[in-house]
Amino acid sequence: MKKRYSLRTNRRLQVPIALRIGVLVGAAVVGMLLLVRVVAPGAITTLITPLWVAGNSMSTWVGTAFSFTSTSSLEVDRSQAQAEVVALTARNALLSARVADLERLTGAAGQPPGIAASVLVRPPVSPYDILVIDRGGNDNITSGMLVLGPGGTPVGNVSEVSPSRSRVLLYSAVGVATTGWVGDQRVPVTLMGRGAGAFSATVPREAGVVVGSGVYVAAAGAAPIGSVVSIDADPSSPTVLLQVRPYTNPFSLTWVSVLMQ
Amino acid sequence: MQLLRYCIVAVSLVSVFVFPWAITRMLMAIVGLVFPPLSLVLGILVDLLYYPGVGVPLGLYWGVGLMLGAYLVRILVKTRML
Repeated sequence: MKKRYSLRTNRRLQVPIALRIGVLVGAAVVGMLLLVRVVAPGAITTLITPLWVAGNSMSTWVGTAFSFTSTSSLEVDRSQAQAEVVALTARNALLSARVADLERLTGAAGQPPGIAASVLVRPPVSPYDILVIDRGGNDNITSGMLVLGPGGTPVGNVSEVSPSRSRVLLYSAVGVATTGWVGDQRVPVTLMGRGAGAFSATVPREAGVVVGSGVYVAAAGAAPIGSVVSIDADPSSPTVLLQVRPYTNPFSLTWVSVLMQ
Repeated sequence: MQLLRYCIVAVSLVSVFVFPWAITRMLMAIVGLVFPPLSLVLGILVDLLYYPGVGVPLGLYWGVGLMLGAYLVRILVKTRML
Protein backbone atom coordinates (compact mmCIF):
# COMPACT_ATOMS: atom_id res chain seq x y z
CA MET A 1 0.00 0.00 0.00
CA LYS A 2 1.34 3.40 -0.92
CA LYS A 3 2.33 5.53 2.05
CA ARG A 4 0.66 8.93 2.25
CA TYR A 5 3.18 11.73 2.52
CA SER A 6 2.79 15.43 3.01
CA LEU A 7 5.88 17.61 2.67
CA ARG A 8 4.06 20.67 4.02
CA THR A 9 3.08 19.03 7.32
CA ASN A 10 6.52 17.55 7.86
CA ARG A 11 8.22 20.87 7.30
CA ARG A 12 5.92 22.53 9.84
CA LEU A 13 6.91 20.01 12.48
CA GLN A 14 10.60 20.04 11.67
CA VAL A 15 12.91 21.45 14.36
CA PRO A 16 16.23 22.85 13.05
CA ILE A 17 19.26 20.93 14.31
CA ALA A 18 20.87 24.17 15.55
CA LEU A 19 17.79 24.84 17.67
CA ARG A 20 17.90 21.31 19.09
CA ILE A 21 21.55 21.83 20.06
CA GLY A 22 20.73 25.27 21.46
CA VAL A 23 17.95 23.85 23.61
CA LEU A 24 20.25 21.09 24.88
CA VAL A 25 22.87 23.69 25.81
CA GLY A 26 20.16 25.86 27.41
CA ALA A 27 18.86 22.90 29.42
CA ALA A 28 22.41 22.15 30.56
CA VAL A 29 22.88 25.80 31.62
CA VAL A 30 19.58 25.74 33.53
CA GLY A 31 20.69 22.49 35.20
CA MET A 32 23.96 24.10 36.24
CA LEU A 33 22.12 27.17 37.55
CA LEU A 34 19.87 24.81 39.53
CA LEU A 35 22.94 23.25 41.08
CA VAL A 36 24.39 26.70 41.83
CA ARG A 37 21.12 27.74 43.48
CA VAL A 38 21.25 24.68 45.75
CA VAL A 39 24.95 25.03 46.62
CA ALA A 40 25.24 28.85 46.78
CA PRO A 41 21.74 30.38 46.83
CA GLY A 42 22.90 34.00 46.53
CA ALA A 43 25.32 33.61 43.63
CA ILE A 44 22.65 33.34 40.98
CA THR A 45 21.07 36.69 41.81
CA THR A 46 24.46 38.39 41.46
CA LEU A 47 24.96 36.66 38.12
CA ILE A 48 21.59 37.70 36.72
CA THR A 49 21.54 41.27 38.11
CA PRO A 50 22.71 43.01 34.87
CA LEU A 51 19.71 41.52 33.03
CA TRP A 52 17.29 42.70 35.73
CA VAL A 53 18.84 46.18 35.76
CA ALA A 54 18.56 46.31 31.95
CA GLY A 55 14.91 45.22 32.21
CA ASN A 56 14.15 47.94 34.77
CA SER A 57 15.81 50.59 32.61
CA MET A 58 13.90 49.39 29.56
CA SER A 59 10.56 49.52 31.43
CA THR A 60 11.29 53.05 32.62
CA TRP A 61 12.32 54.13 29.12
CA VAL A 62 9.20 52.65 27.55
CA GLY A 63 7.02 54.25 30.25
CA THR A 64 8.56 57.67 29.55
CA ALA A 65 8.72 57.41 25.76
CA PHE A 66 5.14 56.25 25.31
CA SER A 67 3.50 58.57 27.82
CA PHE A 68 0.67 60.34 26.01
CA THR A 69 -0.26 62.79 28.79
CA SER A 70 -0.50 66.38 27.56
CA THR A 71 1.84 69.06 28.88
CA SER A 72 -0.97 71.20 30.30
CA SER A 73 -2.46 68.33 32.34
CA LEU A 74 1.03 67.49 33.62
CA GLU A 75 1.43 71.12 34.68
CA VAL A 76 -1.86 70.96 36.61
CA ASP A 77 -0.83 67.67 38.25
CA ARG A 78 2.53 69.16 39.21
CA SER A 79 0.92 72.22 40.83
CA GLN A 80 -1.48 70.01 42.78
CA ALA A 81 1.34 67.72 43.88
CA GLN A 82 3.42 70.70 45.05
CA ALA A 83 0.50 72.03 47.09
CA GLU A 84 -0.02 68.57 48.62
CA VAL A 85 3.67 68.28 49.47
CA VAL A 86 3.58 71.58 51.36
CA ALA A 87 0.45 70.52 53.31
CA LEU A 88 1.76 67.04 54.05
CA THR A 89 5.19 68.33 55.11
CA ALA A 90 3.54 70.60 57.66
CA ARG A 91 1.31 67.78 58.89
CA ASN A 92 4.27 65.40 59.05
CA ALA A 93 6.26 67.89 61.14
CA LEU A 94 3.32 68.26 63.52
CA LEU A 95 2.89 64.48 63.85
CA SER A 96 6.64 63.93 64.28
CA ALA A 97 6.64 66.44 67.14
CA ARG A 98 3.70 64.65 68.78
CA VAL A 99 5.40 61.26 68.36
CA ALA A 100 8.58 62.63 69.91
CA ASP A 101 6.56 64.00 72.85
CA LEU A 102 4.81 60.65 73.34
CA GLU A 103 8.10 58.74 73.17
CA ARG A 104 9.57 61.08 75.75
CA LEU A 105 6.56 60.57 78.05
CA THR A 106 6.32 56.77 77.63
CA GLY A 107 10.06 56.12 77.41
CA ALA A 108 9.59 54.10 74.23
CA ALA A 109 12.49 54.03 71.80
CA GLY A 110 12.04 55.38 68.30
CA GLN A 111 12.26 53.30 65.16
CA PRO A 112 15.82 52.03 64.54
CA PRO A 113 17.58 53.24 61.39
CA GLY A 114 17.09 51.34 58.14
CA ILE A 115 19.14 50.64 55.04
CA ALA A 116 17.68 51.98 51.79
CA ALA A 117 17.78 49.44 48.98
CA SER A 118 16.81 49.59 45.34
CA VAL A 119 14.37 46.95 44.06
CA LEU A 120 15.78 44.96 41.13
CA VAL A 121 12.84 42.58 40.64
CA ARG A 122 9.24 42.87 41.73
CA PRO A 123 5.91 41.35 40.72
CA PRO A 124 4.68 40.97 38.00
CA VAL A 125 8.07 40.09 36.42
CA SER A 126 8.30 37.52 39.19
CA PRO A 127 5.22 35.25 39.35
CA TYR A 128 5.64 35.09 43.13
CA ASP A 129 5.41 37.90 45.66
CA ILE A 130 9.12 38.42 46.15
CA LEU A 131 11.50 41.32 45.73
CA VAL A 132 15.18 41.15 44.89
CA ILE A 133 17.04 44.12 46.37
CA ASP A 134 20.55 45.42 45.72
CA ARG A 135 21.81 45.12 49.32
CA GLY A 136 23.10 42.00 51.01
CA GLY A 137 25.39 40.56 53.64
CA ASN A 138 28.09 43.17 52.92
CA ASP A 139 25.63 45.80 54.21
CA ASN A 140 24.92 43.78 57.40
CA ILE A 141 21.60 42.49 56.13
CA THR A 142 20.62 39.17 57.64
CA SER A 143 17.78 36.75 57.05
CA GLY A 144 14.55 37.63 58.84
CA MET A 145 15.03 41.41 58.86
CA LEU A 146 11.91 43.52 58.46
CA VAL A 147 11.50 45.37 55.15
CA LEU A 148 9.53 48.60 54.94
CA GLY A 149 8.04 50.22 51.86
CA PRO A 150 7.78 53.97 51.24
CA GLY A 151 6.11 55.64 54.19
CA GLY A 152 7.34 52.99 56.63
CA THR A 153 4.70 50.37 55.80
CA PRO A 154 6.00 46.83 56.47
CA VAL A 155 5.98 44.74 53.28
CA GLY A 156 7.84 41.55 54.23
CA ASN A 157 10.97 39.93 55.58
CA VAL A 158 14.39 39.16 54.12
CA SER A 159 14.38 35.47 53.23
CA GLU A 160 17.70 34.88 51.48
CA VAL A 161 20.95 36.84 51.60
CA SER A 162 24.01 36.87 49.36
CA PRO A 163 26.96 39.25 49.79
CA SER A 164 25.47 41.94 47.57
CA ARG A 165 21.82 40.96 46.98
CA SER A 166 18.86 39.80 49.06
CA ARG A 167 15.46 38.29 48.44
CA VAL A 168 12.46 39.65 50.30
CA LEU A 169 9.42 37.45 50.81
CA LEU A 170 6.35 39.68 50.90
CA TYR A 171 3.60 39.10 53.44
CA SER A 172 1.21 38.71 50.52
CA ALA A 173 3.05 35.71 48.99
CA VAL A 174 0.79 32.69 48.56
CA GLY A 175 1.25 30.29 51.49
CA VAL A 176 2.73 32.89 53.86
CA ALA A 177 0.86 33.34 57.16
CA THR A 178 1.43 36.48 59.23
CA THR A 179 -0.03 37.25 62.60
CA GLY A 180 -1.54 40.68 63.01
CA TRP A 181 -4.49 42.66 64.25
CA VAL A 182 -7.53 44.21 62.64
CA GLY A 183 -9.73 47.15 63.54
CA ASP A 184 -9.64 49.65 66.36
CA GLN A 185 -10.23 46.84 68.86
CA ARG A 186 -7.02 45.13 67.59
CA VAL A 187 -8.72 41.77 67.00
CA PRO A 188 -5.92 39.15 66.50
CA VAL A 189 -5.93 37.57 63.05
CA THR A 190 -3.75 35.37 60.89
CA LEU A 191 -3.27 37.06 57.53
CA MET A 192 -2.95 34.63 54.65
CA GLY A 193 -1.12 35.83 51.54
CA ARG A 194 -3.15 35.54 48.34
CA GLY A 195 -0.56 36.86 45.89
CA ALA A 196 -0.40 40.16 43.95
CA GLY A 197 -0.21 42.09 47.22
CA ALA A 198 -3.55 40.90 48.63
CA PHE A 199 -4.39 39.16 51.91
CA SER A 200 -7.34 37.43 53.47
CA ALA A 201 -8.15 36.66 57.10
CA THR A 202 -10.89 34.91 59.03
CA VAL A 203 -12.41 36.51 62.14
CA PRO A 204 -15.43 35.70 64.31
CA ARG A 205 -18.63 37.34 63.12
CA GLU A 206 -19.04 39.03 66.52
CA ALA A 207 -15.65 40.78 66.23
CA GLY A 208 -17.41 43.76 64.67
CA VAL A 209 -14.90 44.33 61.88
CA VAL A 210 -16.24 46.67 59.20
CA VAL A 211 -15.11 47.61 55.69
CA GLY A 212 -12.34 50.18 55.96
CA SER A 213 -10.92 48.83 59.23
CA GLY A 214 -7.13 49.02 59.43
CA VAL A 215 -4.96 45.90 59.45
CA TYR A 216 -1.75 45.92 61.46
CA VAL A 217 1.30 43.69 61.89
CA ALA A 218 3.94 43.64 64.60
CA ALA A 219 6.84 45.94 63.69
CA ALA A 220 7.98 48.79 65.93
CA GLY A 221 4.56 48.62 67.62
CA ALA A 222 1.51 47.86 65.53
CA ALA A 223 2.31 49.01 62.01
CA PRO A 224 -0.57 49.48 59.53
CA ILE A 225 -0.21 47.45 56.32
CA GLY A 226 -3.62 47.70 54.71
CA SER A 227 -7.35 47.99 55.12
CA VAL A 228 -10.37 45.70 54.81
CA VAL A 229 -12.01 46.18 51.40
CA SER A 230 -14.74 43.55 51.61
CA ILE A 231 -16.24 41.06 54.03
CA ASP A 232 -17.52 37.72 52.74
CA ALA A 233 -20.09 36.33 55.14
CA ASP A 234 -21.87 32.98 54.94
CA PRO A 235 -25.10 33.07 57.00
CA SER A 236 -24.45 29.53 58.26
CA SER A 237 -20.87 30.23 59.36
CA PRO A 238 -19.80 31.77 62.69
CA THR A 239 -16.84 33.42 60.97
CA VAL A 240 -16.40 35.94 58.16
CA LEU A 241 -13.68 36.20 55.55
CA LEU A 242 -11.93 39.56 55.28
CA GLN A 243 -10.36 40.66 52.01
CA VAL A 244 -7.49 43.04 52.70
CA ARG A 245 -5.90 45.51 50.31
CA PRO A 246 -2.36 46.65 51.18
CA TYR A 247 -1.36 50.30 51.46
CA THR A 248 1.81 49.58 49.49
CA ASN A 249 1.46 48.34 45.94
CA PRO A 250 4.24 45.75 45.37
CA PHE A 251 3.94 46.23 41.60
CA SER A 252 5.28 49.78 41.84
CA LEU A 253 7.92 49.44 44.56
CA THR A 254 11.20 50.95 43.39
CA TRP A 255 12.98 51.16 46.73
CA VAL A 256 12.55 49.77 50.23
CA SER A 257 14.14 50.21 53.63
CA VAL A 258 15.56 47.22 55.52
CA LEU A 259 15.17 47.73 59.24
CA MET A 260 18.25 47.04 61.35
CA GLN A 261 17.45 44.92 64.40
CA MET B 1 10.95 31.01 8.90
CA GLN B 2 13.94 29.68 10.81
CA LEU B 3 15.01 33.20 11.75
CA LEU B 4 11.52 33.81 13.15
CA ARG B 5 11.85 30.67 15.29
CA TYR B 6 15.20 31.84 16.67
CA CYS B 7 13.71 35.28 17.38
CA ILE B 8 10.78 33.73 19.30
CA VAL B 9 13.19 31.64 21.37
CA ALA B 10 15.39 34.67 22.12
CA VAL B 11 12.45 36.93 23.08
CA SER B 12 10.92 34.26 25.34
CA LEU B 13 14.27 33.82 27.08
CA VAL B 14 14.64 37.58 27.65
CA SER B 15 11.02 37.83 28.82
CA VAL B 16 11.82 35.77 31.93
CA PHE B 17 13.98 38.67 33.15
CA VAL B 18 12.11 41.64 31.74
CA PHE B 19 8.44 41.08 30.95
CA PRO B 20 5.51 40.42 33.30
CA TRP B 21 4.75 36.79 34.09
CA ALA B 22 1.58 36.81 31.97
CA ILE B 23 3.57 37.71 28.84
CA THR B 24 6.28 35.18 29.71
CA ARG B 25 3.59 32.52 30.00
CA MET B 26 2.19 33.42 26.60
CA LEU B 27 5.66 33.26 25.05
CA MET B 28 6.24 29.90 26.76
CA ALA B 29 3.14 28.61 24.98
CA ILE B 30 4.28 29.99 21.61
CA VAL B 31 7.82 28.69 22.00
CA GLY B 32 6.40 25.28 22.89
CA LEU B 33 4.97 25.10 19.38
CA VAL B 34 8.49 25.64 18.00
CA PHE B 35 10.04 22.98 20.23
CA PRO B 36 7.97 21.62 23.17
CA PRO B 37 10.77 21.03 25.74
CA LEU B 38 11.58 24.74 25.59
CA SER B 39 8.42 25.49 27.60
CA LEU B 40 9.65 23.26 30.39
CA VAL B 41 13.16 24.74 30.29
CA LEU B 42 11.75 28.26 30.59
CA GLY B 43 9.41 27.18 33.40
CA ILE B 44 12.31 25.73 35.35
CA LEU B 45 14.31 28.91 34.72
CA VAL B 46 11.45 31.02 36.13
CA ASP B 47 11.35 28.91 39.30
CA LEU B 48 15.12 28.93 39.53
CA LEU B 49 15.15 32.70 39.58
CA TYR B 50 12.06 33.52 41.59
CA TYR B 51 10.65 30.55 43.53
CA PRO B 52 10.58 31.67 47.18
CA GLY B 53 10.48 28.17 48.71
CA VAL B 54 6.83 28.27 49.78
CA GLY B 55 3.72 27.64 47.75
CA VAL B 56 3.19 26.01 44.38
CA PRO B 57 6.14 26.11 41.88
CA LEU B 58 4.15 27.89 39.16
CA GLY B 59 6.96 27.91 36.59
CA LEU B 60 7.40 24.16 36.72
CA TYR B 61 3.65 23.44 36.59
CA TRP B 62 3.06 25.80 33.68
CA GLY B 63 6.16 24.48 31.92
CA VAL B 64 4.99 20.87 32.15
CA GLY B 65 1.43 21.78 31.17
CA LEU B 66 2.45 23.85 28.15
CA MET B 67 4.96 21.23 27.01
CA LEU B 68 2.31 18.50 27.11
CA GLY B 69 -0.13 20.82 25.35
CA ALA B 70 2.43 21.56 22.64
CA TYR B 71 3.08 17.83 22.14
CA LEU B 72 -0.66 17.29 21.82
CA VAL B 73 -0.88 20.01 19.18
CA ARG B 74 2.04 18.43 17.29
CA ILE B 75 0.35 15.03 17.38
CA LEU B 76 -2.84 16.56 16.02
CA VAL B 77 -0.91 18.35 13.26
CA LYS B 78 1.01 15.18 12.42
CA THR B 79 -2.16 13.15 12.08
CA ARG B 80 -3.62 16.01 10.05
CA MET B 81 -6.41 16.61 12.53
CA LEU B 82 -5.35 20.30 12.65
